[in-house]
Amino acid sequence: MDGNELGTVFEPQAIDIDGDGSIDGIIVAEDANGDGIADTLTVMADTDDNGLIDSVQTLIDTTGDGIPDTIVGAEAIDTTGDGIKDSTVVYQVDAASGAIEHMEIHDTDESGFHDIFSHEQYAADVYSELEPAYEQFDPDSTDMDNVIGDPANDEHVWEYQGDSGPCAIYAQAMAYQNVTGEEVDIGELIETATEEGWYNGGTATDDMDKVLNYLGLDADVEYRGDMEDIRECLENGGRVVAAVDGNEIWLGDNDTCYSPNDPNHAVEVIGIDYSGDEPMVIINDSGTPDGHAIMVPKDQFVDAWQDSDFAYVCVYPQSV
Amino acid sequence: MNISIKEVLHKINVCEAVRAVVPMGMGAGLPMLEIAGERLLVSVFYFRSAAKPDDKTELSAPQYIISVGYPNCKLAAFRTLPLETKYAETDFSAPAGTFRHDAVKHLNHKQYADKKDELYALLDKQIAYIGGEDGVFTAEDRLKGLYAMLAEPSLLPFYRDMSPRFFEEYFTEE
Repeated sequence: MDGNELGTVFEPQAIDIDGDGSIDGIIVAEDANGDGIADTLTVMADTDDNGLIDSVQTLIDTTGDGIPDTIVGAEAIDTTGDGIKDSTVVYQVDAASGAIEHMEIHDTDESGFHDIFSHEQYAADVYSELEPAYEQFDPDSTDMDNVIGDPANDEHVWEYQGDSGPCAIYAQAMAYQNVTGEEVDIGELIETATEEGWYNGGTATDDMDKVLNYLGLDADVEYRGDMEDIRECLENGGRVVAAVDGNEIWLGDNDTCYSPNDPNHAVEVIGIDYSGDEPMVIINDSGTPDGHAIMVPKDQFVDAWQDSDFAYVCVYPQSV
Repeated sequence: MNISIKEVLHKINVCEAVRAVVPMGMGAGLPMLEIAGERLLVSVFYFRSAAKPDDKTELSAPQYIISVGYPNCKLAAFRTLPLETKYAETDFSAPAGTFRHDAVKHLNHKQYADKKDELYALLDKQIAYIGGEDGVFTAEDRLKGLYAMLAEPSLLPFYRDMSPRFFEEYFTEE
């Protein structure tokens, strides 16, 4: 058959929509009817440059004349004026006349657009210019007898926080979900933490246990921990929230992209892989796109952990 | 017994005040010295930086200034800038500037770290001189040059506020 297979998706392109020199969107063309010509064009955009897709617009040529005749889209909006995009408006517009044919507003969780759009795809495309300093755990190529914890399962609760503030709340929420199997509403936890004074654009290290306590689990922030403490916690069915220098993990020795300071950042430790020559600490890091099951060499992790005086929280499904 | 400025910075970073108040996600800026009466103080501010490629790492305005005594590292002062009247108009959530600034654009990560280490080593020498252990401090110009290079231009008003006399002495190359 001439042309493309039905539904062929062409290579996505990262684009600079607002012309500020930074990539802030992806454009994807699709040949839905297989005639070899793209008839659907989707633009996904991060309109406020916070790392999250908040606008998607698809132009569709249903008549095959090469001209889009229908536009469908979805956009994150702030309905309360508090600066948080809390709802999604979904619409369909006649491309020729501009007339709105359909529109509805849906509530979304305050963590962003996770339920609708693929952040993993966005992250992989948009952030590909930032070479990560890490690899990710692959259970299929690992001798699982030498792995402490349950990283193959735990990595699935990972969520991307979108900006650098609520890392400790995300890390605690992921640890809670992994030890209890119960889902939590992270947006609601951020609200509670803000009201209670545990979150003020960030979380103080001493408050790295407060959300877990609020959710009913016994946990305390400890300092001067060591790898043996983490290993013991994971071996006994617990999960660990640790404060580390995020830049050491995210950027490593990236020559040109680095920060002038070394802020602490909370991550969830979900395993230790002893199968290779060098032990690897496996973390769920909400602060980096696609940050599930990141493998960090033990010595690098310890260096990054040292900056917080080895602050950590070990949490179990119930008091032990 | 003297301790190095790097040790002082680590002690500040893990002190109770920082653990209890300063949100994770913020890190320390460059240290400054101040003589207050008979006491030598080391001060740093804490600010947020969000690493981004192409020299667009975003720096926010510092929110906390911490001063400790030298060499005991006991807390001497703690300021929360968003609560101060003079910063009432400052938007602490908006980027105040970007990094790398022009003066360090030619430095890779290691070279930048080496410059910081050189600055810390000179501060150690200056502290020894202030304490009467070293007869003379001869690296004034080099210290000025390093501060002029490393200090983030968008944060200069905060450096000036943190230690005005030290700022006048070392943050402006003649």
